[in-house]
Amino acid sequence: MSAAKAKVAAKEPRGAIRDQGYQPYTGSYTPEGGRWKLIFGRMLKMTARQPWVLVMLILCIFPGLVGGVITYIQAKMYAAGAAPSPEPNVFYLFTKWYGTLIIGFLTALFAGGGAIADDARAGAFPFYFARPVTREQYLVGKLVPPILLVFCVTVGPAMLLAIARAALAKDGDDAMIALLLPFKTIGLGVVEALALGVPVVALSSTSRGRAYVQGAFAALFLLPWILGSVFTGVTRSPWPNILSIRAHLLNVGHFIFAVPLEENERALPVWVSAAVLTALVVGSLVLLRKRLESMEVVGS
Amino acid sequence: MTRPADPPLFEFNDIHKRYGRFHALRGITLNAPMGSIGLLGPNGAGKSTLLKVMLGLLSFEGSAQVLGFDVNADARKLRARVGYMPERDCYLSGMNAVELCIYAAELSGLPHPEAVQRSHAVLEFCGLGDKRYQKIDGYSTGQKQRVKLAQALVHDPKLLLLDEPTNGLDPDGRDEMLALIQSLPARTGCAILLSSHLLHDVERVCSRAILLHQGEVVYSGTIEDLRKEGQADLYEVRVKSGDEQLKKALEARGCRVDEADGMLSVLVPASTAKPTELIFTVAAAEGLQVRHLSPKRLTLESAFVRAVNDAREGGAA
Amino acid sequence: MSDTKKMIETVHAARWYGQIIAVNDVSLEIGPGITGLLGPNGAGKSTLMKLMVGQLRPQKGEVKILGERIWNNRALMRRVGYCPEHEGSYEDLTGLELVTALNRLHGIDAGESEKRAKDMLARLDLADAMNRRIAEYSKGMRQRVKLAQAMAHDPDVIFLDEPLTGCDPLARVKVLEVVKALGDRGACVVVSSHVLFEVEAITSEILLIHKGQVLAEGDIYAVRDLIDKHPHKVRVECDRPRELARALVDADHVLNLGFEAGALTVDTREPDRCYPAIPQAAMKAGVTITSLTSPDNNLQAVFTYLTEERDKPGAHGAKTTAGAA
Repeated sequence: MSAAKAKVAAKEPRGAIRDQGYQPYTGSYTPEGGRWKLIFGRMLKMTARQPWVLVMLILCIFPGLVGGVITYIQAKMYAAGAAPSPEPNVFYLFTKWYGTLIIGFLTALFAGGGAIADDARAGAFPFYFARPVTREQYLVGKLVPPILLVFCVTVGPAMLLAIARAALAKDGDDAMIALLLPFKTIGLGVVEALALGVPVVALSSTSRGRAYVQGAFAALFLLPWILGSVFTGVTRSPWPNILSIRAHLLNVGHFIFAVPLEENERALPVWVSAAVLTALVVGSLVLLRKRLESMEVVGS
Repeated sequence: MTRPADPPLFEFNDIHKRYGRFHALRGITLNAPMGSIGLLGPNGAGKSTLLKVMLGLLSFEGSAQVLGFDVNADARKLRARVGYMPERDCYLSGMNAVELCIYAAELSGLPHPEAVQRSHAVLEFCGLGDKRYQKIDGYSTGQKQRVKLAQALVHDPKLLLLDEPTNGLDPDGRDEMLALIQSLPARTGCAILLSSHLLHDVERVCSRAILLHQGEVVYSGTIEDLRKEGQADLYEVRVKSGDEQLKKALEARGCRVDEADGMLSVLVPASTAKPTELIFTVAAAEGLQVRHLSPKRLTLESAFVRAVNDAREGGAA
Repeated sequence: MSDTKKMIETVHAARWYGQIIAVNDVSLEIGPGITGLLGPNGAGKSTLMKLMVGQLRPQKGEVKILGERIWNNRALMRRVGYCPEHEGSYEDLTGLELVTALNRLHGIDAGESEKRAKDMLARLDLADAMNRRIAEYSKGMRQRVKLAQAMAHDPDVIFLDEPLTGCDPLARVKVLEVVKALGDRGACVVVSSHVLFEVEAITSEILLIHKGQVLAEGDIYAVRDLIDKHPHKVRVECDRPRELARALVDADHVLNLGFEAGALTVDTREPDRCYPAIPQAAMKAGVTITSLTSPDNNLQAVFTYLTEERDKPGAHGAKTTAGAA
């Protein structure tokens, strides 16, 4: 007993101060292939913080709701044999001015306008490329959020409509036709999301000013639409619409949804529209790649 | 902090880089041990190009190894071990410092929980307190520079490339930043390559220097050696007042006296046994107060200018 | 003080922006030669310079150059040169065209303008580049064009705001040469810079601005001597530091002695007694001094000591006065 006490008494007082500062890193590293997800995730988070996103998401509900009500009424009347099939409503939702096309355009404008321009202005290229991040990973991370958002904003309401229509089918045959609608919706949605999302990001890589990019994109989309409509009306030929993205989307939509053209509507052959849209997307990607190569990482 | 068998910091062998007809790097062959090195040179000498080569961002002729990695084959692995603090603004709009550092760490390969921990530790180290939770857009120049340093350090690099780190800082800010950089090698064990026009900064932080001129290496070695005047009996003297008086008195004793950089440059006669004593005695006899007396070494700036001019003449010959 | 001191004069000048006062009751006089204008960020340096150049009007008090008020005084402005900090952009002109044009704006006739422009650009090492467009210039070259336009019309008073940014060491040497030459010729040159060792290299006259007021003015070393709170440090490299310490320890002007490898550091509040005493003691004790330096007798130290003191609550009112060197 006393020996233990003596031991305790004889023990030296002990204390330690812990090193609080910088420590070397000895942990593991994540695999390189998945880095684009980081960029994508971060960009999506940052875009989602901006107020206009909420505005667009809310706005896109209205055409959907209105269209839903109209579709409901029309479906009932169709079932009663008193009105034509409400099939085309989904198509109209995509492409008419009162539908989601403008909303989709605005979403692309806000989500994509600053995508690369903001990075150029704030000097983010050294931040990314002095690290183990490839230009491709960066590109994917920057392209996917605007495309995804445009897709959601246009396909969301349309999908609701398509499903509602399918649910309101009057009989088996009608249901079979109606069930194709969701797939057609996704089809046109993809085309529209690409046709709007990719060019705006490509434009974003050409300037440091987000406002310039947005102005240019607006001009690219709206001017040919307006001028094309005017001249098509005047000349009664569909070719003035050759530069109008909206006209081409309309064309492709007509084809996918098998909706016949209206009386005085003049349209280019579908393959022309498909070719122009493909050229637009591919050309934008090429431009993007070239611009990224030339971005300075080191130097003032 | 010793690590077992450090590889040499970098080894370059006959590097050439051409942009069309412009020959940016002409046969760079360099070898450097781990440590703090200054990268110096006039504008257009090839410093930026060399840094790009070191980051594996350029194709070039010749072979280059940094930290033991081949720059061409293992570029991405290399960049995970290198931190770069660029000269101009470098941040993402709309983020705060913590988010930026976490993002930076994750992009360099750290898993999320470690990234969060290290971000805070590094921001603390760089002196960003509660400010770290505010958006970087609103930071002062000094705070932006600290964030730039933090994002370069967060993934524990073995080599830190610093490009004009004191740009735009007021004198106290510059002092703090340089003190921070000076403390890095001891604290983190990393090597530093400092590219700057402010040779005073380089002198304070680095022990070695690489001097580039028109794509070629003009000097590679210690700063100490670069600054050696080459004349043993040259001294710089400053007195509180009475420069002219001292000059005359020293000349009377056989010294050669010039004025340079606000001080007197005194060449004592070769036979003098105790040169400093001579100068002190003469000053005391005249009733003058010596406030500064030391063997004259070139400032790094003069050494730089001399080396470049020598290279120019060598090239012209 | 004779009239030569008054090339630049402000009398109770003040300028505020809303609630923020940038320049607060500043009265100063600057004479010929080179003066360094220093201060932390946000201290009011740029505002003060703009007041002196005539870009801003003082809301109180007067700002005079060469005896006349500078505000709205076109004739006087011709005798003033100004190199601002920010970058202008006349990308499509060549360097020569820009400087010539600005010379003419200063009232010099066409032929003379071009001649002076060529001359100044050549002195700043831009002889080859002067006929190329400014869009192709590097940062250092643009800086030198800015300087050329400030100096080419041979002004009597010149203001240079951060003149050496972006200049590589070779360019810096050239610029400093030209600035020194101007000072020697009797012009009044005011140089504002954050890079203190650059200022030290060209002048020992300074003006320190802090929180909108003049904190210190005059010769750097004289100001240093007036800072009581921080004793002078003297570092003596010698062969036997402890021997030297033994010889000095009894002196009452020695505050503190410290030891480093191969050197002795001495702290003193009475530099005038201490500096001569050290070599004396060394010779008596048979110690050989290899170097004697004052690590904190420089601009950085003066700057730090003065601004840190001012930031503490309850700091005293103006204690420092322009002392004789």
